Amino acid sequence: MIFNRLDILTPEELERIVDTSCSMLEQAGFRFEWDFALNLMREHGCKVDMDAQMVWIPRRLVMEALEKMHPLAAPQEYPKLFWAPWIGMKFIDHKTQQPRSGTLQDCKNIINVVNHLENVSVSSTGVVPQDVDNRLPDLYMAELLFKYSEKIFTTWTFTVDTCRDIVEMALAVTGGEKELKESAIINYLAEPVSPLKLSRHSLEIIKLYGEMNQAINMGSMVQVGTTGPATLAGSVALQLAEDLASLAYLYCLGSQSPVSLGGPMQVADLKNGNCLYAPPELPLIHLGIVACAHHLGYLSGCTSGLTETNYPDFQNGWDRGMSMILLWAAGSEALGMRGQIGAGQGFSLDELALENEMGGMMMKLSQGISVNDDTLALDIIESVGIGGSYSKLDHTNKHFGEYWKPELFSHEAFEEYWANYKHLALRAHEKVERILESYSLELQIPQDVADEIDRIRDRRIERLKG
Amino acid sequence: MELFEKIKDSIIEMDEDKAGELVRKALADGIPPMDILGKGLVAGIEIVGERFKADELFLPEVMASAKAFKKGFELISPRLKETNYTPRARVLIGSVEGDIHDIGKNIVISLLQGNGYEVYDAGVDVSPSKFVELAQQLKPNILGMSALLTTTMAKMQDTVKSLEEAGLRGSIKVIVGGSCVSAEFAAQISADAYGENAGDAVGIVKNLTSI
Repeated sequence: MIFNRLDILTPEELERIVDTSCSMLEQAGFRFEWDFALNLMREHGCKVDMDAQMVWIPRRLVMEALEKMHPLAAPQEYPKLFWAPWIGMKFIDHKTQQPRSGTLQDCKNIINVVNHLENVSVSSTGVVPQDVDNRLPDLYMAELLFKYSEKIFTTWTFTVDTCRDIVEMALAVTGGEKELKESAIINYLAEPVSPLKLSRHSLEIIKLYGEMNQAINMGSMVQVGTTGPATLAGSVALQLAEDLASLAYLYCLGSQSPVSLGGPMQVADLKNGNCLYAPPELPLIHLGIVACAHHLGYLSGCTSGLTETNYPDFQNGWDRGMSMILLWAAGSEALGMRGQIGAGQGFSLDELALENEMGGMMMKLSQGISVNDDTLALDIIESVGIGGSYSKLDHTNKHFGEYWKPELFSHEAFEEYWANYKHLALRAHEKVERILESYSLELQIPQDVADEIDRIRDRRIERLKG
Repeated sequence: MELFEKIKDSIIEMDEDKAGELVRKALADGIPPMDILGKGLVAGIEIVGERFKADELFLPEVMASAKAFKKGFELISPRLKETNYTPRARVLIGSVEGDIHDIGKNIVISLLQGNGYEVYDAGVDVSPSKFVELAQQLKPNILGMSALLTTTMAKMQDTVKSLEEAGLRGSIKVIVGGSCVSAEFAAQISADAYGENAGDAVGIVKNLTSI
């Protein structure tokens, strides 16, 4: 089960935030940078200014969209902990521990490692490869995931053209349009440009995925203090407004895509305008947006468990743990993005291995406490009686296997620990090396489908040359 | 002079109204605009810059000081044109073609204006040919380009090439920035500098132009 015990906002406060978000869409309006989208919204009763590319969305339409769109499938169709690797530009080379641009081989290694980390439930390529044509890295990323990921995956879609290609690849994998529409094999993070803008390419991509009923995660990225107000409530309301604008658009398209509300909100470092990755304000705003999503009947994802540090030290553990536990306790269905280090300076396989360890604990927490005759163990307690021991019992033997056991984290006694000292970072690194040495990527789809994916990719490359 | 100190303090104290009021008084008192600029406005903004560099101030504070500076500068600007005043470097800045993100660019603009640089905002989604057209028209010392998407980074290289083809590259220094850009990429496309974050802008422009 997923817990939902932590509520930092009252229902009245949530209603006020929702009301504020709707007021934004009615009064401030939203920029849709595509005439098709503007005309569509006008047909559904919105006031539109074509020259200014502005739309004002009535709350009636927002409420209708919320009521009639489909929340993203519940945990029975997604893992209990939607736990996907972060995707960034740089890779922390796990041999040299130095940052460099990500490569296609790094993507393959990351998929390989993720395939064999038991607590990372969703795959991605971890980095955007920089050794390919930078007009279509997303196509290469999707190709690798379709071919080699043993888990469901999330990828990025950067352009309308590559979106069409990725959809075509998905059609090849699933076997046809009907099958694709029933599968939700691919997904899109619909990310407006804050504040209050949706670019043409995002609108087109939402339409393309929406036509195929693929999952769309409404995921604005308001940055508190720069693209959103410096006050947390205001930024949460703005984030929700941007999510709702995308949702209203998708609804007007007539899409059956399952959706979630949320998104990778950020807090600005007002020393330099960059993003902060682990201030306490970050879990607060994510708790806010998760609460809003749940209040409106939708599943939610957030970014949590991130760190500012460049090394697995005390701060790293605290940064990650603080936000992860809070968002888990609030019932966030997705807790992304794993494997990043140094406030998004790079993706690290060693960090991912450490977070896999965390993931084991999180999975255990998610199981909660099972209450039944066997687990209450009244008959066992009565039979052991006063001052007895439970350690030799069949009941203990039956149940101790359910405990979480560490693989990387230390449980040694003081003397043993120092006699056999090996830093946690090194233990994680060795695990990564073991996986990469022991396993190779194996094709997860039939060869003819892989060939078709290659053909789609090569066709795009040829078109770009032309 | 006490009035210069007060003008300087109004910048440091981020008081736009006071800066305006004091500059008007200084002009009415017949104080040369170059002195108002150098001994009052610039003196204040330089202290702000030093404090920002020393991590004593945050961006919103620097930008508030920049607003106060801009207010004062706008009041003396018509009088400066009557003298042989040469502005600090002229900067043309925009987000590249295909990119509509502008928050970093806008912070840079505020910081540069607040330090007395002449800044022309080309806006967002600016094509290489548009950058060249504006460069021919405005003759900037610096061209700043911002890109937040990997798919738009290539337009930075296209713009640099376009400047070369137009015979402008030798007279314009190019600075690139944005979350997907790196020092490595900047070197690859032969840009003159890379700004890791918006706060670096003033220092980089100063280094490149020695102004």
